[in-house]
Amino acid sequence: MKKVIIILGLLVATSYLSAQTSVWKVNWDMNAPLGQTTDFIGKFSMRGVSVEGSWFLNDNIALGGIFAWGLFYEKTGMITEHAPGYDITGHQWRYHNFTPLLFTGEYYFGTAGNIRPYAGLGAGVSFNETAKYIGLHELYSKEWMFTLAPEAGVMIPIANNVNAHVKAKYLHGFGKDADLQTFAISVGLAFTSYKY
Amino acid sequence: MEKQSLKFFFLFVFSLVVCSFSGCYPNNDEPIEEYDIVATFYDQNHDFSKISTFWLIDTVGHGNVKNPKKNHDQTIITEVRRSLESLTWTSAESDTEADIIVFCSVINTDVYTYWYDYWYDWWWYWYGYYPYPYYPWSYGGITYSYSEGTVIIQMMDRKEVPQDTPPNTVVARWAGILNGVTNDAPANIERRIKTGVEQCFKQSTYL
Repeated sequence: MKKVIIILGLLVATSYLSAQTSVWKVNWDMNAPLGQTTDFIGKFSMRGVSVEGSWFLNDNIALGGIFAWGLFYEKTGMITEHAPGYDITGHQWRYHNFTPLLFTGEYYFGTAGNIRPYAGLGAGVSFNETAKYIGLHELYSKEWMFTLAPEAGVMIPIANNVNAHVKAKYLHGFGKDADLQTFAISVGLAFTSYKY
Repeated sequence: MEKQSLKFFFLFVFSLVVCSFSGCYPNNDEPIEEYDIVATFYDQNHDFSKISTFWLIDTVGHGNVKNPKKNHDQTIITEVRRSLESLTWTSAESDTEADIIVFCSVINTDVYTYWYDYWYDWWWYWYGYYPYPYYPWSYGGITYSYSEGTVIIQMMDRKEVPQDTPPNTVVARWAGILNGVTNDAPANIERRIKTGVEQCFKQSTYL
């Protein structure tokens, strides 16, 4: 892992120094829970942001990283949970925070200064935090998860070095008991370097 | 990035982060009864189907509390009796003739707590390095208190209650617990107790 980080760092630094071509994206993320994540909260969320930066190795391939934060929230109303030997009834407030921190690799189609669709893959870790409040009581858990996130998006130039950015991303964190699975639509701005 | 773009970038990041985090956690300012919970515990190996008679001890226990609040004791006894009878169980003539002994108790506690924002939390850690105590609450936050009430209903198998042993040494085969905030009008508390007791028996479908 350490070697991979060093190699990636060198690649990024080399490309940055030689060509000074980079892109920074700031996004508003709208997340939908999928799969096992819906067992806890099934509600779509508008609460999410992400910041990502990538450096171009050549005209089409870029390496970088992304930091994101998302929150799912749901108030369940009065429900009864059944378990062997006991049953509990009450209103529940459920929170699910997730914070992916991923290395990314992207392939950009087209040429600089034009509309550029791209596809990529992120790999890294996610900090996953769930809290369930029943009445005056809280059940809390947290976990770091290995995470993979394929994505596809497009950058559309709107001003000098500024682009509108839209992307779709599937994120899968591999947990001990339950996986983190989300589908996100991100909208934001992408800021490109001078020579891009 | 050009200087102009760089400025725009940081302004955009700042705006997005402020907008997102200002509404990041939904407010929990909810009606007081929504904090009520009803929990029931039962011995999975006990055969509840054979129960037909009960003996309800008509005094609510308050532990060793001096001057306990007994305002709602009668409501608790009335509602538990009503629920037991709704199971088609009948009240026995004496405790020695009943299949089960039912005992109710109440615990009241005053909770004092302090809420402070994460900002204060970080502040505290930062200043924690200084060799004097630092009190984050001097910079803001909210101190609040509330009273929490718990009603406990316990069922014991009469045959497991030896005549020469105090009942509190016997294991309960079923227990129902209502818990909630009691800073409420007496009439509302009575209503919440009634709803809670009913729910205890409603969710115990094996009784």
